[in-house]
Amino acid sequence: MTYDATTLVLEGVSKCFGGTVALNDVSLTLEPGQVVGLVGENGSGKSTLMNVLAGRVVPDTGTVWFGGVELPPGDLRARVRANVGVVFQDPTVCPDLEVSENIMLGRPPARRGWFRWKHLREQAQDAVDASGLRLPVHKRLRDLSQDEAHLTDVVRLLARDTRVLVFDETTASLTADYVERLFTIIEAAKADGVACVFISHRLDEIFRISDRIVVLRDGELVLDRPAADTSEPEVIRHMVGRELSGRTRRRSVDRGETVLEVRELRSGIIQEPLDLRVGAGQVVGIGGLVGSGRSTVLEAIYGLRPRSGQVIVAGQVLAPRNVRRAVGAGVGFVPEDRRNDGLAMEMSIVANATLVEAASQPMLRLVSRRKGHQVVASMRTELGLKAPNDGAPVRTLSGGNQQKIVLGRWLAHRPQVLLLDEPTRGIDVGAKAEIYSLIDALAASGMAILLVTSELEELLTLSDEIIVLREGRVAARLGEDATEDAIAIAMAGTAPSSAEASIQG
Amino acid sequence: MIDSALATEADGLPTRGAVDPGSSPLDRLRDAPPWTGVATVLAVMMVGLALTQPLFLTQVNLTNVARGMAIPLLLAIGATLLLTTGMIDLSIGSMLALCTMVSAGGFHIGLPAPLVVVATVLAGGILGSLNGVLVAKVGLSFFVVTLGTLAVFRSVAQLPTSGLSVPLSNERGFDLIVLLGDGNIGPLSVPVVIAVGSLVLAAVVLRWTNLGRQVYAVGGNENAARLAGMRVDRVRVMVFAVNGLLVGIAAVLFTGRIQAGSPLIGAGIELEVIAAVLLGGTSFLGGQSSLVGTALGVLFIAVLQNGLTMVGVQTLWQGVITGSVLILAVWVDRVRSRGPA
Repeated sequence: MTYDATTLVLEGVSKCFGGTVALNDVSLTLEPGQVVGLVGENGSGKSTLMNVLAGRVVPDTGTVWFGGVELPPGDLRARVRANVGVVFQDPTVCPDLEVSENIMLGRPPARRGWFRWKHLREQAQDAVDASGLRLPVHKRLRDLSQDEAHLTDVVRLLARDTRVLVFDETTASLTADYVERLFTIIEAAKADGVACVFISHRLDEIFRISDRIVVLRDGELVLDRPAADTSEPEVIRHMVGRELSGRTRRRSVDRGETVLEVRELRSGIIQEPLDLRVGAGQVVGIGGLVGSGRSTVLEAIYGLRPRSGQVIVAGQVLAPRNVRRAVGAGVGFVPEDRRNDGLAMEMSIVANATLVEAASQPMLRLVSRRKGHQVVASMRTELGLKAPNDGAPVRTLSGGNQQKIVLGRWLAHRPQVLLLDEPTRGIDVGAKAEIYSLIDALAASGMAILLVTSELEELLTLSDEIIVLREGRVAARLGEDATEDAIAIAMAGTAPSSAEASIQG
Repeated sequence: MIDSALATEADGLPTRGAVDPGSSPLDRLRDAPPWTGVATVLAVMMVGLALTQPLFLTQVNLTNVARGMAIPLLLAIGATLLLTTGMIDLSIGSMLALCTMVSAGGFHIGLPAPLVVVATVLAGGILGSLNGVLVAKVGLSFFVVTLGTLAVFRSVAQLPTSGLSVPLSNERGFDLIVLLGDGNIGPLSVPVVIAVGSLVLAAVVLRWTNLGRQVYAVGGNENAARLAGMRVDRVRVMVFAVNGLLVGIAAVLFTGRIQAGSPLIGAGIELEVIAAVLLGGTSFLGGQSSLVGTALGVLFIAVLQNGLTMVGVQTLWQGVITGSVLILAVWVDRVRSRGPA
């Protein structure tokens, strides 16, 4: 293969984290002078891909080429030498160094080990001037605002003549004013022949700055197209998937007696009061992009977040910020981030399966081994859990089996309400089908289920009613008339951005 | 766990931005130097002692306090450098004892006194580097490594003499060691000059050398330092080595002061030293340090112990006080670095 001296190629990159596929054979070419907009839902593999590029993660398979030379996996210094840089979500700056030192980090103008402050500040000031920003180079970084700190990181990479520059959700924490300044910098870098990757959850930004748009979903590259030849709804459809596996839609059940009622809920990004009801045997789906507030709703109901408004479970009003009371009232919760919030990865299958039991029992109650094994045994028969032995650490299981444990631990409790946040994230197709049938069966047994998912198909086929959120507001409530297009359009909304995108496109 | 997951979701959660200066007394306090607290308490304590204890302000007592500070100050400089990179060396007490035994051994085999000094200091550097290599190159936790070498060094120090001290006084050239550890040149106490000189040197290194700036970078954000191409492990080994050299210097002073090599000295001194450093405002979380604060912290503990003795509190109680001060200092650090709620 021959490439331009500054073309970066990711070739056949795959990576698994403890049974979860993060990247599956992804290849991507970054051309000089081009901005690639990289989008995908949480867990689609964007960050992992960029960490492989940056040398922070060693891939299971695959190679990173730069100008025809391989960058060894996990070798950070090779990236520095090759002028490949990433601006991460949390700025990689040192709070107690001066801004000037941060800009020149790793290559200060030292002579025989002595630090030359004057040269350093001059060089840093030149770099700041060249970027067109204003930063106080002599101040300690700690004394800067978050925005300025983040841009210091950008200036640092520009100052070292970076040829490949990745912005990993840099705009997520920037104020509007600084987003504009960042865009000016990106445009200038592009004109300078730098290959840029721009990652953002805000599609209007993606369409504004990108020449090419790449979509990842479940660790696979599903779209790679010039920005001019695509549209927001098309990108969203690729992000959330449309592989209809022939699964038929649930027949809508008549809402039985209301089990979960939420009145005028406000919490975090949910600023506009939200009402919802879930009846016995009903599945209500919440759709929306990342940042729409979909997880916030579940977390507020469960008591993980402060909230205002009322949550009523079977006639009983729940106190805010009180998980124990919620569990006591018969609410179960399956969190989005299974590895960090759902499981104790090093603990045994039994211990994880009985975590809810353990939390609800008195402190000094003896742990019944027999009961623990019974719980796991019933998971094997009822959920098709495949596990070598009950004492093995959960880490050793596949993603699908891990999720069965997180779900299964609630079943022994027979909750009245089950809150599911991305119940099939990062698990294989077979396990997905099993979890779908399980959700159907639970609903049929009279449970009220509130489901958050970023997959359109899942949302459509599992839910009796669908609530689509956008930027903390209800964008649509759909019943049997729901279609993929209707949901995608509601997710994208009619933000001013689409107008801009169409001008650019 | 859930909370940390929430913070990463792009839900527009409030991020910690710039503090509006002078908007509340608490903010102004945060802008003050980190050692403001210990300086204030120290001043109050000294005024109190001066008013109630007639012996406190005498030249003899103050000289004693100053001399007693020299060794803790040397150790505290090393601890400050380590803490700046987010690490602690628990083995310094044992290392100190082992180094005094190296001095004794040096005289025993008839080395000239200047060479004994060099050998002792180098021994400290080597022991410190050993900790550093195990932490930075092998990749073990500093806590585990230095807890382990705490036991190892102490044990090795006791091996040659079955735990007995080696009195030194008549050896040829021992005068030099006594001068370094306990002597005066004109009105100046030599150990105090050495300790203060080391403090100034450390401040220069931290501010004006590449190594010093890398120490702050590694402590402030190891990730950023690594991504910028710094050799983070090398910086860590260097800091451990410098810490060891300082322990070696302290060992020379100690040998001169007690006129012996002793395998038993220095037990628990790491607690006192770390307490002093934290009191001085060096952050437990790394990245931030204050050598001025460290000096004030050491002075605080020295005056506290002096005062407690004068007021008649039994020596046996002093551990209670020092330990409580340590916990208090860490708590204040937590409150301070947490920032506005």
